Amino acid sequence: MALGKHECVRPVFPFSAIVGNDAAKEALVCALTSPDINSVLICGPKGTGKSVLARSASSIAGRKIVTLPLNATEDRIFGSIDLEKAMSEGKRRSSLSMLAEADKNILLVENLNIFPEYLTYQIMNAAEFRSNVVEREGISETYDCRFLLIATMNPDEGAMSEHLLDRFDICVFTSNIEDEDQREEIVRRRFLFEKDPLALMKEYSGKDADTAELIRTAREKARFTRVPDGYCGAISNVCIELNVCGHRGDISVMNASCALAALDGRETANLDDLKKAAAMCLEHRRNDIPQDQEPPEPPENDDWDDEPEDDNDQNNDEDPPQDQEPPEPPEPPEDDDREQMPPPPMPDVDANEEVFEVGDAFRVIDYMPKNDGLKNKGRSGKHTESMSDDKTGRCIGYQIPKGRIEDVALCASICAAAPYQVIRDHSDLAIVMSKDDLREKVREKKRGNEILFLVDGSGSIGAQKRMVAVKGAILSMLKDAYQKRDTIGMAVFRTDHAEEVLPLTKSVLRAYKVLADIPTGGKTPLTHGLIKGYEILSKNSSANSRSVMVILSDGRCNVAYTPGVKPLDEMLSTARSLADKGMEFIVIDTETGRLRFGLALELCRALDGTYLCLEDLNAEYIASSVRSAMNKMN
Amino acid sequence: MKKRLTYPFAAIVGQENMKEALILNTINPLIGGVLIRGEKGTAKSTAVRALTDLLPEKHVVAGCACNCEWEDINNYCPSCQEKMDKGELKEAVVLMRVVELPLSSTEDRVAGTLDIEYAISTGKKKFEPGVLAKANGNILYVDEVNLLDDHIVDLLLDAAAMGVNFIEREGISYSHPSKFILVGTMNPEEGDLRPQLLDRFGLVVDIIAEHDEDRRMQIIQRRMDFEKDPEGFRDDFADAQQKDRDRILNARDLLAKIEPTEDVIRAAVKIPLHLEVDGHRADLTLIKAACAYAALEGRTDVRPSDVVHVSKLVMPHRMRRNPFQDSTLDTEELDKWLSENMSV
Repeated sequence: MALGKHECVRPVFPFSAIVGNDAAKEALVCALTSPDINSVLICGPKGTGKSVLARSASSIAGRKIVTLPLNATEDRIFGSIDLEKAMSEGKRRSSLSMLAEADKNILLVENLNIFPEYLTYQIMNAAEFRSNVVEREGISETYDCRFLLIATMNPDEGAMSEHLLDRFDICVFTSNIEDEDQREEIVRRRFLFEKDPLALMKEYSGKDADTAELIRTAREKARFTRVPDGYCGAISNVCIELNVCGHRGDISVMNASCALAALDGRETANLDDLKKAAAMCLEHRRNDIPQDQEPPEPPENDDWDDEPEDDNDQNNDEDPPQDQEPPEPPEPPEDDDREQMPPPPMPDVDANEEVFEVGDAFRVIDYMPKNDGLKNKGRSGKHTESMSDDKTGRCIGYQIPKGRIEDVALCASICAAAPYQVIRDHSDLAIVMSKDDLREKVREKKRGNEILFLVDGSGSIGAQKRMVAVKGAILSMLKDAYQKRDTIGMAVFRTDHAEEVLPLTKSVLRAYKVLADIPTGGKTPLTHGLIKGYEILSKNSSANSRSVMVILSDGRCNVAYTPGVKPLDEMLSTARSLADKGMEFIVIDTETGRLRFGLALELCRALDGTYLCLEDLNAEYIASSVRSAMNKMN
Repeated sequence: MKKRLTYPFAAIVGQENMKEALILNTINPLIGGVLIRGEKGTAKSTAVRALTDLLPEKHVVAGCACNCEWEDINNYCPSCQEKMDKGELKEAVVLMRVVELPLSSTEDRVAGTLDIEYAISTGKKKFEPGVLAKANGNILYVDEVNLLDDHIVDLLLDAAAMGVNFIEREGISYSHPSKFILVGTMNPEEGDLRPQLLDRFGLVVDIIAEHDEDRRMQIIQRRMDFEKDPEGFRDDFADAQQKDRDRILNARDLLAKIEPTEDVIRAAVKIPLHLEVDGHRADLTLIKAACAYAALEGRTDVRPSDVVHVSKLVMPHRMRRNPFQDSTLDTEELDKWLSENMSV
């Protein structure tokens, strides 16, 4: 076969061939139309067409797509010294960075939530300010990068910090399509695409071209489209009503409404545009507290009167504390709306052994205390990351070495040496390096936490069926650990001893099996539990991880470790001595009802840990924009 | 170095699901790979390595480091594109092979990076292909895939998503095709797999050690025979191996003629909906696997019963809405349910 010149066109699934997910498609068109929208996030569970949608933008955008892969290094993303020029001319010139390449085009980042966060911040900054500054390797330069950032993420892989989320102008959700006929159509089109991509592309090229033309003309108009003054107030009101922080939301809604109006051939935006725009731009920014278990209504159903109804004001009063700083004392028992519980039986009741089912799981709050010593800025719901000292982990950049060099960054060292090649004495060598040229790698390693759940299996927990809720809470925390890939273990204390029921493992599946079988009944040997927990965690602790003990108990210790000592005093003194052992403690108070002893709180103070009530764990009560948005998708 | 002989695929006793899953993937590489879950010592790795002997031939661009497929002109790597423009491309026929990804791999070796030797000796940049280039058009095998570092998994996911590996690192900007059949083995006791990676595996088999005493004896006997005299042992199974090979080749020919019928598509849509599975990958994989299974059975027509048959390989890992529920699939019950609901 004689192959002549051939323009390689990588097949892309056509935009018009995507079935369903109309809201997401409209949002993408809107983002491509508006000259003032810088970023779109496509969010959704696996296999719902996030990537297909993001990539199909190329068939309607009339612009080039620059794909930023997960393996990208800082020098390629933001720009660095041009090696070849430096070698041959001895001059420091910058090479074309990906962001510069994306100027006037589209930058596509998939799975943004697993991208190193500090890179994401810089990319988002560049997208927002439309230019980037490089100050590295002797290069000082500012260049334009007016690109549209299209990012995708699967929330199952970990959440993104709210601050980052707020930076996105538009956030859309793809969802499963339940309709059988639509699903069949998806399968048919996908099948054809895999078999003969060009045939499918040809079939839809007409429709795609129409959309592309629509976007092109609307993009010119959008600049001159405006939102009537009366509506501006309405936008602000909706933002206030939805408790949107900051002003990015308002601005995004304005821009998106203009684009939608332009797409419809109008010069002024109308109420429909505003509603649609609000759905795209505010969903991920809203900060409301759901009134009941129902997921929040999407904002398009909200009242669009100029005067917002003030039925949301009451929510602000129950606004829970944002950080887990307290030991605040638990609610005094005069709480009337709490369920009328019978007074707790005396803890020493030796109830029959019982195995309770596992309560319903819920989404947990980010209960891990923030660790100040580590590089852990603004990360929500994701594993701790820190700089790695050994030669493992992802290489995220390089630095001028301090002390002995062990992990040489060869490429960076060559780049550093390059500009001097013209003046150095080469003799037989192609490249001469001096010690000053050497650079070493900076690596970042994802550190999982080692979490030991220390569970009170005594009768006092069993008697009130409290164990169902406790198991539900553990299940929820297990799920959370599963997403963050923490190592987990479990120990139970009851009757007269504590035992390790699950050695530290990464298999949450195993943990779940064990959890279901935890029996309850008997006394509360909390001191035994603390000692056991300490043994387990200290045996397994490694320099690279954080040890956390999560204690679920009401604190009513009534078995002494050393015979003859008062159980409670012993528990507190043990706790005090554990406080400075380099572990972190979280005490989850399972106490309920009117009569409370507050012993778990005392225990927590002695441990210098974080105190939470069982109910506090449930993120449903502590709603934030991200989580309520994510909940909606389940 | 003398090449180590592999244990013949045909000599593996039992583990029919695993063998079928591997063979279905060689018939149709678009199925998306296999994840083999099981205890240690259940012939997981043996089976994957043994598959090498059964792999068919493929047409590639001669001398291409990225194994560019001859037919797939639109996905050529930059160096092949350049050669094509000059009219220098040559075709070559090679055997598909198993490329191993060791757990200790570093990201630059997996994704590919700047060719340092070339840079040092000439002062110019050149791309050095990594494992993802080698794996193109081949089987990428990861033993203990659940222990793979997160950032390496990310690279696999990134390449698997579009079948293209984009490299933007160390001053290099390059992209090449990277379509591989991902085969992983894991022992679930040692930790779970990330949900996103799990979903990428087309098929999953859960294997347990053989409990039948006679069969266990047979396994031990064969293994001992193989270790004593690998060449002789392989000769003994040469016929059986050839039979398997022919069956696969024949099935590959048949597969080209198979078109999924409306009934099959309907069944492939109904089952995942019934089992509450996320996303659309399950639907597609069911159809692809059903077609491959029909071809393996020597048929050119694919039936809803084929979809039910392969659902035991396609569905289990996608069924768990809650990651902690045990997932087992009762195909008989599913078959009954489907026949009751198909006519609607």
